[in-house]
Amino acid sequence: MQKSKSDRFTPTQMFCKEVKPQLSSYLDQELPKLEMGAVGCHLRNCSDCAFEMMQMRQVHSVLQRAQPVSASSTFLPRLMQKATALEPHRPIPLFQRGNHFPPTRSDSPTKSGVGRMSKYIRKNQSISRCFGWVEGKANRLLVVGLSIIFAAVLLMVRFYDQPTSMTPVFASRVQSQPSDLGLALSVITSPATYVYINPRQMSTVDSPIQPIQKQILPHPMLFRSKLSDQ
Amino acid sequence: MLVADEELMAQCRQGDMSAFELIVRRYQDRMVNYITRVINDHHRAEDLAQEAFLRVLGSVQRYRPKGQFKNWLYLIATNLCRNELRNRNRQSTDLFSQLGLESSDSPGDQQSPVFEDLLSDSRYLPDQLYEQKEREQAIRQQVDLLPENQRLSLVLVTYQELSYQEVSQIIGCSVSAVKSLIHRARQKLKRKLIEIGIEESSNAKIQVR
Repeated sequence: MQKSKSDRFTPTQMFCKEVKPQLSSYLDQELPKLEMGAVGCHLRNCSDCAFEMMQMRQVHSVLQRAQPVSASSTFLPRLMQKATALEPHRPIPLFQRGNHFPPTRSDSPTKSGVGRMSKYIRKNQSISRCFGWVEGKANRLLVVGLSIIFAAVLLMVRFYDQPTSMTPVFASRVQSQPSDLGLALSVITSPATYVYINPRQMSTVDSPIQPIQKQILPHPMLFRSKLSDQ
Repeated sequence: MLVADEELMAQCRQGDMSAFELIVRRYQDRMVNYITRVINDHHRAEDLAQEAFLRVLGSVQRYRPKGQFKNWLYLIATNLCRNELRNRNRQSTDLFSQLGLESSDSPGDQQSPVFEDLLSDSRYLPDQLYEQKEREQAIRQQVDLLPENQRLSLVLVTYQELSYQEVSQIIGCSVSAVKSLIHRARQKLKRKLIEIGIEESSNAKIQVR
C-alpha cells in the first residue's frame, strides 16, 4: 500500500537524517504546518537533534544581538540634494514637445544647431536627457515610421537609377516595360531570370567581332560595381 | 493611514519628489542596516544605500508594480553589495600579490589565529562591555567569511526578517536553494563560534524528555 504524504512525517517515522537539514527552516518557521509538528515531535524525543537545535538557536540569538545600524542624520539631506540634481525625466507626449527639445534648461548653451547639441551633451554627460522625448510610446512610433519611409525612399532611388547602365536582351520585356521604374520593379520581383549585356563591351574597338558576352546575374544591385569595372 | 509603496512610486513617476522623500524615510534605516551587515562598513554602506535610492529614482519610469516594491529595492541593494564585495576581493588580492604574501583558499585561516589569541587572552577583555563589543566584532568577522550568497541570504533572513520566498526572488534562486544556503551558513557559523569560544546559553532552553 502506498503511503500518503501525511504518513511520512509522523514522529515515529521521521529520522534524524531527515530532521537535521530541516532545523534551520524549523527555526525560521518556514516549514509547512504538518512538518513543523513532525519536527517538533521528533525534537522532544531525540536528544541529539534537540542539542543541534539548541546550538542553532544560539547562533541565531548571537546574530540577532548585534546592534541595529541606522542611517545618519545627514543621509536624507545629502540624498535629496543628489536626487534634485538628477530629476526624473519623463517622456514628453507627442506634439507637446515644445521647448523640451532642444532642451531649455538653465544650463543649456546659447549656441544653435549641432554645436549647441554637442555642447549640451558634453556638459550634462547624458545623451538620454537630450533624446528623452524619444522614450514616449507615440514618439517612438513616429521615429520608427519615419525611418521606414526614409529607407523605402532610399531603396527606390537606388533601383530607379539601376537599369540605365544595362540593356535587357529580351526585347519583348523591354517593350512591355518601357520605363526604368517599371523595369526596376520587375527586377525586384524576379531578379534571377534576367540576362544583361554590358554595354561597354558592345562598343569595344579592338575586337568588333567579339561575341556579346552574356551574364546571368542574381541581382543587379549586387553586381553593379563589378559591371562598371569591366 | 499608510500609503502603499506602489502608490508612492506612481506619484514619484509624476515628478512628485515628496513621495520619493517618503519612500527614502521609510526604507533608509533598513537599507543602511542591510548593506552594513553585508559589507561590514557603515560609511560605505551609506554611500551604497544612497546609490540604491538614486537608481530607484532613475528607473522610476520603467518600474512596473509586478512584485513588492520592497523586494525590488532589496534587489538593487543586493546587486550593489555584490559589486562592492567583488571589487573588494579584487583589491585585496592585488594587495596580497604586491606584498608577496601567499593567498590561501579560505581567508578565515589567516584571520582566525590572531582572533583566537585576542578572544582567549583575558587581558583583552577587561569588562563585560568590552566583551560584548568584541563578541559583536567576532560575529561580524565570521559572517564576512561566509560565501557571498550564504551571507546575503542569512542577513536578509536574520536582520531583515524576510521570508525564504522573498529571499529567493532577491538572490535569484529557488526556495529550496535558499533553505540550503541558510542552513549551511548557520552550520559554518556554529562551528566557528564554538571554535572561538563564544557561548550564549541564556536563550537556549530546551526540554528533552
